[in-house]
Amino acid sequence: MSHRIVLASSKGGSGKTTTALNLSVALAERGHNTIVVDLDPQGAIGLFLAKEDSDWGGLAEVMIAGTPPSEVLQSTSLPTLRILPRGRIDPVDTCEYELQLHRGEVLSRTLDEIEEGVDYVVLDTPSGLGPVTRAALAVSRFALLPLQAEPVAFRTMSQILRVIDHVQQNENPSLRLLGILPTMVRLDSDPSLNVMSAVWSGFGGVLDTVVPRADVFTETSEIGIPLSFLGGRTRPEARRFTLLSDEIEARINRMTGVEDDNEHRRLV
Amino acid sequence: MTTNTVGSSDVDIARALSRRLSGLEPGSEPRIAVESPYLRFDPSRPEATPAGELTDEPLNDFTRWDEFLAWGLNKVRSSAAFVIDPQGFVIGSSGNVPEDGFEGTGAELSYVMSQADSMNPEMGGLRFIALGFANRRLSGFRAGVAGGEGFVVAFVDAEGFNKTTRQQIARQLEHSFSVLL
Repeated sequence: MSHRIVLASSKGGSGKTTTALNLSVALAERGHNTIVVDLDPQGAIGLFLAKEDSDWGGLAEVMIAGTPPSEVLQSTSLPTLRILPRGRIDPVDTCEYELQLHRGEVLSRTLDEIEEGVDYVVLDTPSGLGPVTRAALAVSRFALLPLQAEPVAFRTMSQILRVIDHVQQNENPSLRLLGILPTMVRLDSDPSLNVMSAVWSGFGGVLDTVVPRADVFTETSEIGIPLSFLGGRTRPEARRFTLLSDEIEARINRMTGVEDDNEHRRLV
Repeated sequence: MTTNTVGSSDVDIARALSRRLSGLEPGSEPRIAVESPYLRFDPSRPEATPAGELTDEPLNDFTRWDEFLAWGLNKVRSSAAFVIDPQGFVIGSSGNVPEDGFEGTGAELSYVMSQADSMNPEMGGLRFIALGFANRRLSGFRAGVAGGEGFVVAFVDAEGFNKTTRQQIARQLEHSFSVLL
């Protein structure tokens, strides 16, 4: 059975898409069959990868034309990673897309159809607490919350946590907070450090891995590739997502009661 | 480091929620007693009628009540659903079912619907009822009402009710009823 992980945040620009994409790549590079699903009406994953807005069919074709989901899954150069794009949505139909995604069962049906043999499904959502985020939370087991390490983003944390609590209580009892991922962390900046101090000292589920603020993220989005695909020397930030995938895998194993098979070794 | 400027009651709530939802912190309390600081929209408010094609949604050929309930739960964004047979017994339930089940609620709902039948015989048998309580909302659809008896499908705290979804549930119930008997 695949593990569905929703990236959610009430504040925009917190690193949801960057995390969704690079985490999916890291999981796939570890050998896990992974699908990243672009639920953002703006098609954030496609835009990140420098695709034209109408290049890829996707969820919209499934919803509007009844296209089988398997026909719109995009392969990548990683055999273990595929992308379910947003599809060719007319921007003026964004409201209808969001409402239909929330009201209907199209999302759960679509995921059911593509999950055979898949280890992880990573769902990238739009910013905010609207219908798409709610729909994704309603059909998923795990919520991963990128927290931009700055005061305004920090103050919005209660909003998304409140929604997760509500969905867990009323719609999806299996939903769990997988973790809070600090992003854009700058420990040389007082406001960022203050946020991190508050998070580390009192919040539950904070991941050990943090994603620092770095120019390399802008560089990769300009080229349209994930971090680990950058040429030249390996960037330390790419290593962060390998660590993140390890931590998430271990945490999911712990939350689902799976034994960790990394036993101690003997040197002599 | 300068003075911490990020403390607020919202942060206190977030901190407590994160501890409970993560379930990873040793010694974390299972439930926080925080009174919600938010206003809530009335979920029974009239909603805009969705696009017409939704009313033409193809009917499903369910063969089991649990399939019907799973479909209905998703359709109306409900926390739980159950089926009551003509004798008032719950014969199936799905979703967030309380520990003591829906037996009592189901029997009373069935009784309430049968009482409503006698309100005015010219109106025919009751097909649908929506009840708003202080802490819960309960909606019931009935099929096979000839003679005043029938199976009732009930939804708890449905969020996605509007005219169209109500029609879809009713149509689907009528379509599936004879098979699911």
